[in-house]
Amino acid sequence: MHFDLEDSRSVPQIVQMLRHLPTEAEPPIHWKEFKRRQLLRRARARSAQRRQFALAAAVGLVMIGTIALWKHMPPLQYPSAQRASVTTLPMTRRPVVPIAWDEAAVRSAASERWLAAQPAEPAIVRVGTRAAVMTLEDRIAWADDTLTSMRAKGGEPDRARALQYERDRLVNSLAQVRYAETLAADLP
Amino acid sequence: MAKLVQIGVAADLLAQACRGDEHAESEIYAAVAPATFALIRRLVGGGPQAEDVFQDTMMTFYERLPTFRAEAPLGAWLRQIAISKCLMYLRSPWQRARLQLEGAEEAADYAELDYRSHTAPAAECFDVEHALASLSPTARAVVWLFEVEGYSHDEIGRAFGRTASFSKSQLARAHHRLRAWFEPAVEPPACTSI
Repeated sequence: MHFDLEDSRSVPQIVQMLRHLPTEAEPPIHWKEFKRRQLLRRARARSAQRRQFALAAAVGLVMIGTIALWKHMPPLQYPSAQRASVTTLPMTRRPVVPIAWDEAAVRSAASERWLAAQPAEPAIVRVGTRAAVMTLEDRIAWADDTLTSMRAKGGEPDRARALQYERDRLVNSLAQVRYAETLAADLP
Repeated sequence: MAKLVQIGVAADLLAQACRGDEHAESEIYAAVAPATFALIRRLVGGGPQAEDVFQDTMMTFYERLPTFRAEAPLGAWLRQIAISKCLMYLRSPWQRARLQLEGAEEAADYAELDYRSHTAPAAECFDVEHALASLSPTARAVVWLFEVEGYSHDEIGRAFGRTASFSKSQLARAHHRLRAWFEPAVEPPACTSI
């Protein structure tokens, strides 16, 4: 958009009028009020600054506390054992799990009994679930074979215990999948 | 009435104010506050925002007063602070968002302005205050800084964080709008039956 200002004779007159506008106006506040507001704003600024410092200090303390707590906590071995894959985790470096060993074995035996009581073919078979079941069953079979051969050869008790633990975990997973299948079969 | 840029204060009064003497500070306030507020009101418009900018300006003025080196009149130094505060306000994201929201309304106002300029007698429109108030805050600030305060387009562009072309364009549009406000009504020729 282009405006040709040269053609307009009124612009200089307008500018003159602008320059003759009053250059002073009654201030909205007198000196005392100005000082009062100045003090108020400074107090607010100081208060905000203190709040920011307090917040930063609190965050820092929480972080330090979290780090200290994390450093003094015992290593969580069970979750890492759960996450690890049988085929990829080196068995010789797997930590021995001293806790809940018998409990896991009992749970595994119960799960096996429950699995044995299940029908061979569920009423509704979903391909995705079936594949998962087959994978779990294959892994359990592999664990059984490996355990049998290890027991036959003797030695490596730590590795055998870890593998047994992994087998129990797989059996539990299989039980969960089959239970989910049963529930799905009951759905209308 | 003195322009802010021309206002000066006695050296001893200034020295007392720099030492924190409240009486001296109040005297300086009385001397500079009216012109400062007038300038701020021209740049940001009236209302509470002008009061806020005025308060900010005067607080900064007293905080920085000990650093004043008296190379120019005190009013000229204060004018720099006031203009800087006004432009900070105009450039603030909140203010810019508000201006964008008001953009559509501004176009409607402009159409109304043209209508008025062609129908109302010229004598009724001779109100430069109203004409100035009809501009957008940015255009009003550009007009005031260029035409009254003597800023160059380069300086205005820098102050707004833009180029000199921005200032020229804003000024041209503002001139057009002000001219439309002041130009006498041009009555269309009456239709006559043949």
